[in-house]
Amino acid sequence: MDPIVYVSLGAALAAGIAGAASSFGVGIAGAAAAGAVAEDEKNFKNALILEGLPMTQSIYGLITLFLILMVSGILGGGFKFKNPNDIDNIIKSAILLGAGLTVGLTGLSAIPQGIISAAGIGAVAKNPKTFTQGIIFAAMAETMAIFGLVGALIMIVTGVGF
Amino acid sequence: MFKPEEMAKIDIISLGRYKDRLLTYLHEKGVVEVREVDVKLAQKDAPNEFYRKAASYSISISRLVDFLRAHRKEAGGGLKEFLFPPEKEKRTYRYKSIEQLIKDVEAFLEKVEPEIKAVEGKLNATQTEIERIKANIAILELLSVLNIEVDYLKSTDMLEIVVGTVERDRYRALMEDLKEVVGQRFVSVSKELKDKYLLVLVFLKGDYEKANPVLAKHSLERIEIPEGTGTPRDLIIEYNKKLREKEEELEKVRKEAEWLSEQYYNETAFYHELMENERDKATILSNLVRTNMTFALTGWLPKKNVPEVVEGIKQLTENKAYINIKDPKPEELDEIPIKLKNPKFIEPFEMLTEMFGVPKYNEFDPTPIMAFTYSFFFGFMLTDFMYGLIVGIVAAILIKGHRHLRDGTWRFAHILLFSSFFTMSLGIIFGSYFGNALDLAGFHVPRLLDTMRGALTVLEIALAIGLVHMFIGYTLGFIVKIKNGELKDALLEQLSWMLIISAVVLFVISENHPGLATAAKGIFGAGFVLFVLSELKNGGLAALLIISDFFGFVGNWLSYARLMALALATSGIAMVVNILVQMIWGIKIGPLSIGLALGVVLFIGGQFFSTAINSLGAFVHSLRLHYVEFFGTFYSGEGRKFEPFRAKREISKLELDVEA
Repeated sequence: MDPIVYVSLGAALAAGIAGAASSFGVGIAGAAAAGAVAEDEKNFKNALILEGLPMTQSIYGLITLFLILMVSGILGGGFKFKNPNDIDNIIKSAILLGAGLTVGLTGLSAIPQGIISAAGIGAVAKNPKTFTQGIIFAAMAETMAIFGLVGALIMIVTGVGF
Repeated sequence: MFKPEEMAKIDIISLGRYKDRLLTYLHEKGVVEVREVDVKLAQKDAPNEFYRKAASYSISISRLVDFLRAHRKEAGGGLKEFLFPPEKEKRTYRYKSIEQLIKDVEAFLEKVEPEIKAVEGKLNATQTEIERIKANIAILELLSVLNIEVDYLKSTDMLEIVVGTVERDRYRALMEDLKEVVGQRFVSVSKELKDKYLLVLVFLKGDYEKANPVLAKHSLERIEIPEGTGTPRDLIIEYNKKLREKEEELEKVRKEAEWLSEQYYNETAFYHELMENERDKATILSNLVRTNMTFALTGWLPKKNVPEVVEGIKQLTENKAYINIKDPKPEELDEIPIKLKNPKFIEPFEMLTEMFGVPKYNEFDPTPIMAFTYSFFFGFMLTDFMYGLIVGIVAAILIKGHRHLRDGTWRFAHILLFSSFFTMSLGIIFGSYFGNALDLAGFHVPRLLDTMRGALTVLEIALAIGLVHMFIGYTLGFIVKIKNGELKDALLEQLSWMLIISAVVLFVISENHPGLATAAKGIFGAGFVLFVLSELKNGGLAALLIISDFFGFVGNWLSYARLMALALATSGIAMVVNILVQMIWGIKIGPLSIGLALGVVLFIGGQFFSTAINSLGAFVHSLRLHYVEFFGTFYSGEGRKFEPFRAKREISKLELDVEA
C-alpha cells in the first residue's frame, strides 16, 4: 500500500471509530437524561454534564487525527512520506496507522461509559448527592481511552517524531 | 491539621421539666451529636402531642408556602441569582416552650389559612370553569357544520336524540346494524369530518333501549350538548363572552393571590421553618430515655466546645443536672464521630475528603495533602494560562457572591480558585495561552517545555509525580500503622511498597551512576520479599494475589499517565480551534472580510468550550487519582461523619427565653 493510504486510514479510524463510539455513548446517556429532566427540570444541569462525559473519546480521536496530519505534513507543508519505494516511509506511515487504530479502538470505551452515565443520571434524579460519585464511576471507563491516547502518542513521538 | 477534631462523650441526666428547653438549647447550639441511650431499665422517650402537632403543621404550612411561592411577583432564578444569591433576612422568634410555639402557630394559621384557602379555592374553581367553557366551545365548533339550533339536538318527551362521532370505517356497519334492530323507525343526519362522521340520530323513546347496545358496540363517542339556545355559531359568540369574563375573573383572583403572597409569604415561610425544626427535634426524642421525673441523653461533641456547653446546660437547668464528660475509650473507636479540623484556607477541600469518607479517629486526615496535590493535578491537566484565568475569575465571582452562605458552591469555588493558580503557573511553564494561539499569531512565546513536542518528557514527569504521590501515601500509612501499634501490617503492607518505589527511583538514577544498580536491586528484593510475606496470609490464593496485586500496583502507577494525556488533550483541543480559526481568518467576500468576524466568534466559542470540557476532565480525573490511586495506598475512609443535632435556620432565628 502507498504510505498515504496508511496515514489517512490511521487518521480516519482514530477520529471515526472514537467519534462513532462517542455518539453511541452520548446517545445512551441522552435518552436517560431526557427521562430525568421530565421527572424534574432541576436535573438538567447534572444530567447534561453526565451526558457529556462519553464525548471525550471523540476528542481524543480528533486530537490524534490532527497529530497524524501534522507529523505526516499533510497539515502545513506537504506530505512527507510520498515516495512508496523508501521503506522508511512505509514504516513511519504504518506506525501512524497503528497509532490511529489504538485511539479508535480504545475509544469504544465511550459506549460502556454512556451506559454508566445513563445509570448515573438515573441515580442523580433520585438523589442529587450522588452526582460526583456518578461522574467518578463514569470516569473509570475512560481510563482505557486515556491509555490508548498515551500509547498512540508514544508511537507517534518515538516512531515518527515531529 | 492531619488529625480529626478531638471528641468527648457527654452524658446528661436531668429533670423532665427541663427537657424541652435543654433540647432546644442543644438544637440551636448544633455541636452535639445525639446518640441512643443504651439503658434497658428506663423507658424510651417519644414525641408528645405538641411535637406530633408540629409535624402535622409543618406539612400543612408547607402546602401554603408552595401556593404562595407559586404566586410571588419577583420570579428569581436565573444566572444572576446563581452567582449572587440574595442574603436572606432572619426573623427572631423568642422561644418559651413548645406549647407556646404551637399556640402561636395555631393563631397564625387561624388568621391566614382560611384566607389563603379561600383564594386557592376560587382560583381552582375559576380554572375549572374556564376549562369547561373551552370544552363547550370546542363542541359547538364541531356542531357548527350542522347549522341546526342546538335546542333541536336535545331529547324530548317522545324522542331520544343522540349526537356523537364514529370512526369513518365503522359508519356503514353502524347504520346497517341500527336498521336491523329498529327497522326504519329512526332518522339520522351525518356530516363527514376528517377521519370521523358526526352523527345525529333520532329514535323513538321505546326503541332507544334496543339501539343503545348497537351504539356502544360501534363505539360511538357521545357529545354532551351545551346549554343555551340558538345556532352553534350564535352560542359560540355567547360562550366566548363568558370565557373572557371568566378569564378576567381569573386575572383578578391571581392578583389576589399575588397580594396574599406579598403579604404572607415571608411570615408563612418563617413559621414553616420553625415547624420543620420542631419536627427535626421530635425525631431525636426516640434516642432519649425517661422515667416519671427525669430524662437521660447521651452524645458526642468536640472537646473544645465542652466548657461552654456544660456551662449552658447548668444555667438552663438551674444546676439540677448530672453531666458526665468522658474521653473516648479504645473500644469505642468505631463509635466516635469524625469532624475534620483544618486551617481556614484548606477547609473547603474537606468537601472532597468527606465525599469519599472521613478517616477513622486514629487515622490520618489526608485533606491538607490533598489540598495541594489536587490543585496541582488539576493545574497539570489543564495547563493553560488563559484557561486558568477564566476558571479563576469564575471562581472568584462565585466566592464573592456566595460568601454569606458558605454553601457547597462557595467551597467548590475555593477549590477551583486554588486550582486555577496552579493552572496559570503551569500554563506559563508550558507556554500555553489559549493553546498555541500566540505562536500562530507570530509571537515568540517562551516556554520550558512543549506539551506536544516534548510529550515523552511530560509523560516521564507525570509518572515521576505518580511515584512521589504514591510514596507519600504509603509513608503516611506506615506512620499511622506504627502509631496504632500495627507493626506487622506497617512493615509488610506499607514498607514493602516504599522500598519497591525507592528501588525504582534508584534504578532510574543508576543509569548515570552505575554503582547504584546493586543497591537498587537489593532494596527491590527486600521490598518484594516483604510484599510476598504480606500475601502469604491469604493461604492458597497467595500465588495468584501476588501476581494480581503486583500488577495492580503497576497499573495504579501507569494510571498517572493521564496527567500527561489530559495536558495534551487541552493543548490539542486548543490547537484544533486555533488552526480552524487560522484557516478561515483570511476568507473575504469582496471587500468584506467575513473570515475575521467568523474567526472571532469561532475562537471565543471554541476556547470557552475547550475551557469547560477540559476543566471538567481535570476535575474528574484529579479526583479519581486521589480516590482510587492515592487513597488505595493507605486510607480507609470508614470513619463515621460527625452529624450534630442542629437546627436549620435560613430565615429564622431562635432566642431561648426562659425565666431563670
